[in-house]
Amino acid sequence: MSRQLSDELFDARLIAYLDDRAEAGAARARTPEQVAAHIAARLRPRYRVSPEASRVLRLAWLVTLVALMLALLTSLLAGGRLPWVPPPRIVRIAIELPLGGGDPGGEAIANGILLAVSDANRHSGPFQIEVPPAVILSDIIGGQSSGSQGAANMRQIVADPDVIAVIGPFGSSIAREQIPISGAAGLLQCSPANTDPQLTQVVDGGIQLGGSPTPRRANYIRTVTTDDVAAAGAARYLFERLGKTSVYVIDDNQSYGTVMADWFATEFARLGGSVLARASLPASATALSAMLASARATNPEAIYFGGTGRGAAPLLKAASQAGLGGIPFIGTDALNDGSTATRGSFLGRVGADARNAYSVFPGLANGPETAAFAARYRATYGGDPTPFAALGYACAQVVVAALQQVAGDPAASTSSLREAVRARGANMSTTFQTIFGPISFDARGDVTPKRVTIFTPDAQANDWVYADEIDAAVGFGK
Amino acid sequence: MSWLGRTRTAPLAAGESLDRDLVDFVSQHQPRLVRLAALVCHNVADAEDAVQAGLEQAWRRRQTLRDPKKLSAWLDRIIVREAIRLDRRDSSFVSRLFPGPREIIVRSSNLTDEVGSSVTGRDALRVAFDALPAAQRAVVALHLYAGYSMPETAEIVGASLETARSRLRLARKRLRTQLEEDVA
Repeated sequence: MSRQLSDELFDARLIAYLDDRAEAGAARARTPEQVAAHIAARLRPRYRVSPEASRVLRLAWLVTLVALMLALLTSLLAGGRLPWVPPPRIVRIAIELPLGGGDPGGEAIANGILLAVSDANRHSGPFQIEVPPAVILSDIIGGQSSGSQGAANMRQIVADPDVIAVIGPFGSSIAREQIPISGAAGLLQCSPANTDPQLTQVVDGGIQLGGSPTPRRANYIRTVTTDDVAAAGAARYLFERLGKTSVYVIDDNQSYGTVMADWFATEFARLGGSVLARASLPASATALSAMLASARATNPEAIYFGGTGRGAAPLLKAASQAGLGGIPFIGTDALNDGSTATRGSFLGRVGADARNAYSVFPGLANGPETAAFAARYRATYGGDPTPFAALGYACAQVVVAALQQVAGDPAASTSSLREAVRARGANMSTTFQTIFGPISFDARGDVTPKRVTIFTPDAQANDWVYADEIDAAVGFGK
Repeated sequence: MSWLGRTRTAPLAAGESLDRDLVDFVSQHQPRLVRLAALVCHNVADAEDAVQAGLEQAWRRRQTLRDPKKLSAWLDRIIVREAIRLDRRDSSFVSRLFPGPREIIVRSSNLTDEVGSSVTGRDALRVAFDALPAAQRAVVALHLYAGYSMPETAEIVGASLETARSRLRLARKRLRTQLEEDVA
């Protein structure tokens, strides 16, 4: 509760306070003589310079200022950098992919890599990364990827002293030719698409090319997982996520399809599922109908197909006609060869019968920054990126991160920089931040986490869409 | 002026005599001006700095004053504006990190008996007055202490008449509220 004061009383108190305050200030102030002495001292000229000398000094100061500004302006116009900031060192990342053939997959990966390099160069640092046409090489000969051309390309790449890493190839058979060359040169090689486990592991008595059996220096890494992981992922998805306990396993009689079907069956059985039969695609339609009739008799809950889209399309159509169209039909990433609009694609040939189909992609397709990547890719190139393009971007991110981490001595010679980037990139204790989140590489150079992505057809989009992803850390290599 | 502290100048050299005119000029105006500045500033040191800087400015520019009758108002304007500038500097982030002396100690009141104000009441006024913005303290000091009319006050602080009136009204309201609460 406050007490009202009259205006007169309030003004009287206020004026009394002002008087007191003013007198208190005056009582503690310096004397006029002291103040005058301070002012006089400040009024004295600090430098006794003749007017002529003063004019000369002013002119000299003006000339110096103008000269400095001109030097700064010239430097900025010439190099775009301030004169006291050293120019960045130019290094190169090479690209080796199937470019200019019929399949645009290689171009999409190259676009992803170039986008990553462009993003990296936006942040000023001691390095400027360039990818000139001289180090973008294609292994296409006569419309097909050629191992000998891939090897020749790699020899050309390792001979360029400015190249500190190479990204590619697409095909595992090409990698088989290249890894010994890049390994001998100590050049970091990152593939976004090689899925053959034998490139880094001893599988079924095969020969290990990559990896790091001491004292050999590891140089080969890949952002994609391997086929055995993809097969195991398909088995896990079917058993754990879709809850299917019995499956009819069919391959296309080709080496890739057969081994994928074998790996799938092994993992499905290990999980506790029942592999009702292990069959191969027959050559004739009559035999196919007979095989599916016998399959129907076993009452399977799903069909796994190891093979490409070429064999999968007639198999699924026939299975639908045999009354097996209502169960999941799961296969490799080869099924995901485009939308219904793509000529000769699995979806285009199968049509509505593909409603229960699943395609297992051997790697990550979704991550914290993949949507932003896809948006930038579309804005730059005008089309959707492929999953392999995103993995190409991740490869470039790994190379750039390795380069940044060894940037302590940018004056080092190119060969020592190349070796430092290799050692950092292939170091299994290093974690790299990518659009998929953090990833690392094991002693073989294989990526961790070992997760695969499941795609399924979308009836409205008439294309494959992301459905799920699953951890499939169990592989079959040793 | 140092970046945090008070004005420091070198004393006169040995044998150097003070300009008599300057001493007279300072002696004539400094006592009045330091009282005015003490009402606008938070502490004596700032008030002294404001007066010294203001007198120096005035001495340098004294030839520019056309009407000698307006000398007092001209000096008051310089000192009040310098005092407001110093107060704003003291409110800066750096100054808050390294605070200097903050208050003017009011030691006596020659009107205590007449209006019945208590020590507690003066403390309440001091707290409330110190809490006012410098621009409001300046208007109160010029109008209620120095006796300037409101148009003259507005001209000295460089504000419109409405703004000056508004500042005075707000200052009175705040001071009265504080004082009444304290009296209660």
